[in-house]
Amino acid sequence: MPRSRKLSSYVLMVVLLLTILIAVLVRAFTAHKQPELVELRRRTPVLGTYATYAVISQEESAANILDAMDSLARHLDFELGVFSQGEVSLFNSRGYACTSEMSIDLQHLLEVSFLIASVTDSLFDPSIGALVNVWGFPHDPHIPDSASIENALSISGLENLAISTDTIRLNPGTLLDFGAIAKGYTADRVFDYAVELGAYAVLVEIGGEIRCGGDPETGRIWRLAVRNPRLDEIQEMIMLENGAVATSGDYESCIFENGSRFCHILDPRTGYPQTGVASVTVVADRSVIADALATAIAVGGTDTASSVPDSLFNLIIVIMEDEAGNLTEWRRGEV
Amino acid sequence: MKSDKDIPFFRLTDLLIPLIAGLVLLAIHFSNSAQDSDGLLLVVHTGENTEYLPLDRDTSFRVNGSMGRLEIQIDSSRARISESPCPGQDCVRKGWLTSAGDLAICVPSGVFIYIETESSEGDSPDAITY
Repeated sequence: MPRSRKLSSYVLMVVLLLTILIAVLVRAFTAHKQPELVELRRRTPVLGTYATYAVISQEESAANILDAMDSLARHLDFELGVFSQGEVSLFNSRGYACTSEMSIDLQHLLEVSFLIASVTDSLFDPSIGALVNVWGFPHDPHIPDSASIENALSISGLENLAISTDTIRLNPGTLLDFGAIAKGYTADRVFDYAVELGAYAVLVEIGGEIRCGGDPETGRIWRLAVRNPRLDEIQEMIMLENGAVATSGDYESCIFENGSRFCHILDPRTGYPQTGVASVTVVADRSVIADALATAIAVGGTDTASSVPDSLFNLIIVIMEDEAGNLTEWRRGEV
Repeated sequence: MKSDKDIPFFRLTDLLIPLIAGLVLLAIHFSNSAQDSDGLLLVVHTGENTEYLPLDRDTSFRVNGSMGRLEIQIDSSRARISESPCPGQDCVRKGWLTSAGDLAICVPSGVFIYIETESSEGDSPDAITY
């Protein structure tokens, strides 16, 4: 082989190998160093259930954001719960609250309660605390006698709240219980707080009520599974970039007696647990709205689901069960 | 003009090709080992809380156990309990966890760590509504 030809083939091969080397080193370097953002998750007990937090954030701040989210959730758990000595408990025990001293959180909960009550014919009602106590949910569920139910019903209903410019008074015996929306509300608040603290994308799930979203540039699409109400499996997967999903099901915290299921979702019209609806899943912009609507629709069924204003939700899935145990699905809207 | 006979059988520059080829192989190995840690998480159970941390981020941090604080270290896609207040120190002696399923437990502290495969990038959901 002539020397010049041999030399040029050497040069060619060296250039080729160097190119491969540079490409591989660049790939290895970027794979090892990764972008600055990191996704961290935490699962922790709160609000009588478990919460999952996921945060996409700068590496140095992600753990601190998770800590802050956890702290806020525990604070709201204390203030909004009925078993602690927080604001709602105090409101119930005093029978009144001064509006000037009322927290933003309690104000928001009351606003959402009146809003959802107004569009669901009062099927969502946080003033059924006495009724919830009679049934013993969630710690000691049992079937009460009808007189106790009647008595509790007589002091339930938002009409038992007297609102003036400076105070909100409860009629004697009336108790507020935000258990039906506290998880959804807390999910929203914790989500907003994480974004405020610099998270690029966030998912908050508290007892099955979910809020997720963030900067679209992260490209994070959250995969949210809807549980089958009768089988321990996934009914369907909802892909959401921004938004909230909440479910109310008759399988959580229920009593079985003489072959009948008595679930924790109480009908404020009758005082008894709802029947016929196995689960309701609502996709909306905010978790508190989704949570409240899911509860009301679980009581009112597809009639209520049909009458909810479009502006409040994106998708409603109602799974009904007939007396023979057959399930049928009804849905409105889309994501 | 020189003939082919004038070209020496071996020259120093001939080493260049095997040298570069060796470097390429090393780089590929390095690249693959970096890729191997992608999708692996360190799961840290500390009593109430469960933390999920990517294994490709070198860090060390402390967690609270029932006997005091433990130090957990992630380094070069491996993880270990590096310090513990427990008397036996079995968890520290366990050493580095490197593969999915590897586990280190500090029984007296109620803390355990293990490596699992990242599920959020697969078919598993990020959360379940129920």
